[in-house]
Amino acid sequence: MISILRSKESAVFVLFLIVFAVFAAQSDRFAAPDNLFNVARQYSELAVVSVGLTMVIITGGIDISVGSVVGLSSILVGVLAGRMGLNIWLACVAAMLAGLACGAINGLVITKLRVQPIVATLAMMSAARGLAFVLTEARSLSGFPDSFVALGQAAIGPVPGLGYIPLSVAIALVLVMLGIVILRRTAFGRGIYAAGSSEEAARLSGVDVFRVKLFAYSFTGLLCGLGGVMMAARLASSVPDAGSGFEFEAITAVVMGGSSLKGGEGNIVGTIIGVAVMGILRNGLNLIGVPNIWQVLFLGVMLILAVLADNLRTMLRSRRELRYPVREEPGVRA
Amino acid sequence: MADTAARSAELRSSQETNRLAQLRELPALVFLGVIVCALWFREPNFGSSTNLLTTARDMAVVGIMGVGMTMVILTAGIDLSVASVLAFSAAVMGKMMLGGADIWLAVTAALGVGTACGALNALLITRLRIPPIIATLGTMGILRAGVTLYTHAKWIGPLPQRFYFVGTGCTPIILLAFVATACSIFLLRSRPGRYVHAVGGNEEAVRLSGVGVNRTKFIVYALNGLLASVAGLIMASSMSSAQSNMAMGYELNVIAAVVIGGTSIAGGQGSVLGTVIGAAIMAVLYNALILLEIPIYWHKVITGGVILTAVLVDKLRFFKRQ
Repeated sequence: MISILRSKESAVFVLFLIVFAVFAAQSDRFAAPDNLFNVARQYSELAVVSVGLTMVIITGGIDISVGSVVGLSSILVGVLAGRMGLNIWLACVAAMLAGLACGAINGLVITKLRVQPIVATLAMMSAARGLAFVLTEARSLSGFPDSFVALGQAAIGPVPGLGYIPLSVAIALVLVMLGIVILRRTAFGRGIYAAGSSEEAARLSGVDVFRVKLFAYSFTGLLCGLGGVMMAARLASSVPDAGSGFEFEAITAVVMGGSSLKGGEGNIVGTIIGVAVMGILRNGLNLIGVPNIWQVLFLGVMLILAVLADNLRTMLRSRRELRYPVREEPGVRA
Repeated sequence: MADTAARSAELRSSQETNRLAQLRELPALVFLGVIVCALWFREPNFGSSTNLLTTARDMAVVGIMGVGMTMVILTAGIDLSVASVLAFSAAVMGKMMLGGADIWLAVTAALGVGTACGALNALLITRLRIPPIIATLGTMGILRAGVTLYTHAKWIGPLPQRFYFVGTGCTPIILLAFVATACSIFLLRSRPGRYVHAVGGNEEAVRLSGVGVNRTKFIVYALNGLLASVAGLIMASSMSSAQSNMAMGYELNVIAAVVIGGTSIAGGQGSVLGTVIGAAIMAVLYNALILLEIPIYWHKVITGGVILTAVLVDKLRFFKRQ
C-alpha cells in the first residue's frame, strides 16, 4: 500500500481526482457519462501518441515531431482516398506506413548519424508539417466514404458496467495495454529502461541500444500515423494543421505522469492519467465557461508544478535514503 | 636565408588555410554564398534595394533572437519561450505608446519586460531546478496566454510614426551587427562570457572550480529575454502594430538558425557568427521561394532539410578530424 502511495503515478492520480472532484462540484453536466465519453473520444488520439512518446522519453530522447506527423498522416488519408481515388482502407494503411517511415527516419538519424534527438525531430517537425501543407496547398480535404466516417463515430460493446464505448477509445485502450506489456513484461521493454538510465552500461550488458531506440522512434511514428487516421475519421476531414500543438500536450502529459526527461524512469499508466487530467481539465474549464486562452495558461502552470512536485519528491527521498540507506532492488523501477 | 623566410611564409600560409578549413562556420558560409550568387544571377529583383532590405530585416529579427539563443544553447540549455516574450514585450510597448507615453519610455519598458521574462526563466531553471526545456515550454504557454489576455486578442496599432525608423531601412541590420558584436566580445573577452562556454562544456567541473554556475545561467537567460524584446521592437515597428499572436512558432526558426550555424545543442561549442550566418540562410531561402514563385509551404520542408544537412556536415567534419 505504501509503495503504491510512493509510486510516481500516485501524484498524478491524486491530481486527477482533485480536478475531477472540483469540476463535478462546479458543473452538473461534467460527470455525465455522455460528456466523459466525449472527452475520452477527443483525447484518444493524444493517448495513442503519448504511449509511444513515453517510450522515447524513457530512452532519454524526445520527439517533438509527433504533431506534424499526425498532420501529415491525416492529410495523406485525404489525398490518397479523396483526390487519387484509392480505396479508403489502403489509404489508411499507407498513411500509417508514412508515419512509421517518419519515425524510422527519426530513429536512424538519431542512432546511426548520432544527431541529438531534439534537433533530428525538429527537422522532421518542420519537414512533415511543411509536406502536409505542400500536398494540399493548405486546403482541407473531405468527402470520405460513409463507412469510414461512421467508424469515427462508432461504438463497440456493450461492455459490462460501461455500456457502449467509442471505437477510438477502445483502440487507445488496446495500445495502452500493449505499451504496458512491452515495457513491463518483455526483455525489450527492460532494454528501453536500461538504455535510458545509462546507455553505456546498457550497451556493455548486451542491450542492443540501436535496436531499442530505433524501435521506440519507429513505434511512435506508427502511432502518430494511426492518430492521424483516427483524427481524419473523427473530424470526417483531413486538415493540414491537424495535431498542431500535440507535441506540447503530449510532453506535458508524459512529464505530469512521472517520466523523467533524463530517461530511465517513467511508465505508461502515469502518462495515460496525465492525458486524462489534460482532457478533463480542458473540458471542465470549457463547461464552466473559461476561455481557451486561460486553459493554455493553466496547462503551462500545471506542467511546471508537476515537475516541481517531482523534484520535491526526489529530494525528500534522497534525504531519507541518506539517513536510512536502502539498497535498491536491481532492475526496473516501473 | 631567403629560402628559410620563404619556407616559413609558406608554413604560415598553410597554417592559415588550415585554420580556415577548421572554421566551424565555413560550410554554412559557403552554402550562403552559393545561394546568394545563384539568386543574384537568376533573379534581377533579388539585388534591388527594397528586396535586400526586407530580407535583411527578416534576418535581423531571427538573428538577434538567435544570438541570445546561442548563448543559452552554449550552456547546454534551451529557451522555447522567446517568441512569447517577444509578443509580450511588444504588446506592453504598444499599449504604452497608444496611451500617449513617450516612445523611448515605452521602448525601455519593453526591454525591461523582456529581461524580466528571461530572469523568470532563469529562476525556474536555476533555483527550482526545472529542466530548461520544460520550464520554458511552460512559460511559452503562460506568456502567450498572458499577452492574449492582456491585449484581449486585439490589434494594437497604429504605432506612432516616430517609431517607424526602428523597423525600416538599415536600422534592423545595424542593430543585429551591434548585438552580434557586443555578444561576441562578451563571450570571448569577458570573464562571465568565458564561463558560458565552460558551463556547457562540463557544468560539474566548472562548479567545482568555484564559478557561479547559477549566476552565469541567470545572465544568459536574462540577456536572451532582453534580445527577444529587441527583436520585438523591430517586428512591431515594421508592422506598425503589436498582436497577441505575433511571431508564433518563431522559437523553432531561431533554434534552426543556431543549429545551422554550427552550434552544438549539447552545449559548449558554437559561435555567434555562425548563428548570424544561419539567420541569413533562413532569410535568403525564404526570399528565394518568394522570388521563384514556389509555394511558401515549401519553406518548412526545406528548413527541415537544411537543419539536418547542417548537423550532418558538422558531424562529418568532426569524424574527419578524429
